[in-house]
Amino acid sequence: MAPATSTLFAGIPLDHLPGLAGGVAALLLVRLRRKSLRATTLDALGWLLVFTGGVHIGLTFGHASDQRLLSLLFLANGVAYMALFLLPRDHWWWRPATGLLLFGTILAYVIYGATGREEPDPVGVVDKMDELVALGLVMLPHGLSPREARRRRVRWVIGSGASLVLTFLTGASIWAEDLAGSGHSHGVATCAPNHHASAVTVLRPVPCTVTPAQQAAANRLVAETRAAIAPYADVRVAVAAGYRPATPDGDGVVHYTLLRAAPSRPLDPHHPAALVYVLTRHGPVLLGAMYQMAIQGQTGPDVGGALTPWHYHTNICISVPGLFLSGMSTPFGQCPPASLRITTSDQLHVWTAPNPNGPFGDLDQAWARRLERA
Amino acid sequence: MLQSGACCLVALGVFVLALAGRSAELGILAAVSGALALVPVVVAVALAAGRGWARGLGIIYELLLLVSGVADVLVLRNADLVATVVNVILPGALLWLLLRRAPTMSAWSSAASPGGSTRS
Repeated sequence: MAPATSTLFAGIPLDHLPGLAGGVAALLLVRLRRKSLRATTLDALGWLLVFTGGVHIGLTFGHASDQRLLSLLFLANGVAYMALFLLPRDHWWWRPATGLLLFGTILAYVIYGATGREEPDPVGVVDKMDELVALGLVMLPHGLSPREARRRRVRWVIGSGASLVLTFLTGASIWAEDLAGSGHSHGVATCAPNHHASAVTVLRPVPCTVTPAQQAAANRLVAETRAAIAPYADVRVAVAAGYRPATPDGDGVVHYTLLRAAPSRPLDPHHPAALVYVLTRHGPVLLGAMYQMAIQGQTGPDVGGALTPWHYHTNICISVPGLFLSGMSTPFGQCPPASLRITTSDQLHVWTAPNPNGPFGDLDQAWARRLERA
Repeated sequence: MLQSGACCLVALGVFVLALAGRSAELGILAAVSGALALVPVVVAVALAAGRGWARGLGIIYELLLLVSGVADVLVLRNADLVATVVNVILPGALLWLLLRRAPTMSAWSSAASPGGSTRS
């Protein structure tokens, strides 16, 4: 069972753990051997280079068996960082070389992710943060005389602007990869047709086969749900029953959640945790229901095997005033102001409208948009 | 600058959601997020210009980030690696820098040192 809340190592793939261990080990090693490193500058930039160097060397071991070329690239990168850390900084080329290596590594990571060869993970994101800070420090103007104050100011502006833009672009690309990828599927998506996991949607594992009994149970759940929520086709009935929109007014697909305490039976078709509507020009149209476990971390009951996988969301931001969905947390784990980052309990959607992905599949967004405009 | 870039990303996320949902509340939240993303830039520019108040503003900003980061990690138990580093360690380090050191980055990324030095 996946953890209900995040721990320090949550979401780190096994082959990336040596990277994290390498980074920490490199920091400890330098700390212990600092007396013999007299020719080395041990400032924040130095420590950042040591960490990322250690991470890259550690990743060599994580990828050695399956991705030889990538493994060699990690090794070369890590050794280069360590060499730059150990070299004295009085050479004119030290800062340009370090800056180029840092920039090239960040760019390579973004390109690697954009082409689907690498999925964003916590070790990668933390390492990129480390490299972005290091790059910012490398770009700082140094060694200029007071007479060159103007040049110094220009370098400050360029360096600062570049740091800001690079951080934004790197974060945006990681986020895009994160949302488009299937980082947390754990192979489930291949067993559960029409379900796609993402960094914010974790699918619970299901058996890969569907027995006749499971098929019958799934059909029964759809039929019972359709009959039970039929009165809620009129949204006023839903509001009178205690359902409220979970996002601010607007249009699109909206979950109306039940504000009072969750029912003791999570699959009670008469009182599902939420009703899903698409807001059309003629008013809200009922698409289906969402069942939800009362307790976070508790796996939902198996109904139809691979047909009905439960899922939960990890990066949901809820605004404290108003209690509505205010966004999804960024790859850097940040939510909008006055919002809390929460992990939902297990959820299962049952679409009573003819969703092209089936009664339990992901909601077909294009189909929902067509309905919205109809 | 790094914090500003990260906060701009938050503002972008809310802005996209506000556009998709055509929501006034989310639009306001996006504007507030964008304004907060500018605070580190203002602090950095003012520090570089030698303005005394910039340190106070920076301390308040980092303190707010640190308190919300610690609450996120310890109270809400979102103690994953990225959140811990970005929302606790980074504001903590910057707060320490603002409280203890003069507003200069030289000790963080020192100039070329012909004879070499060992600093911690």
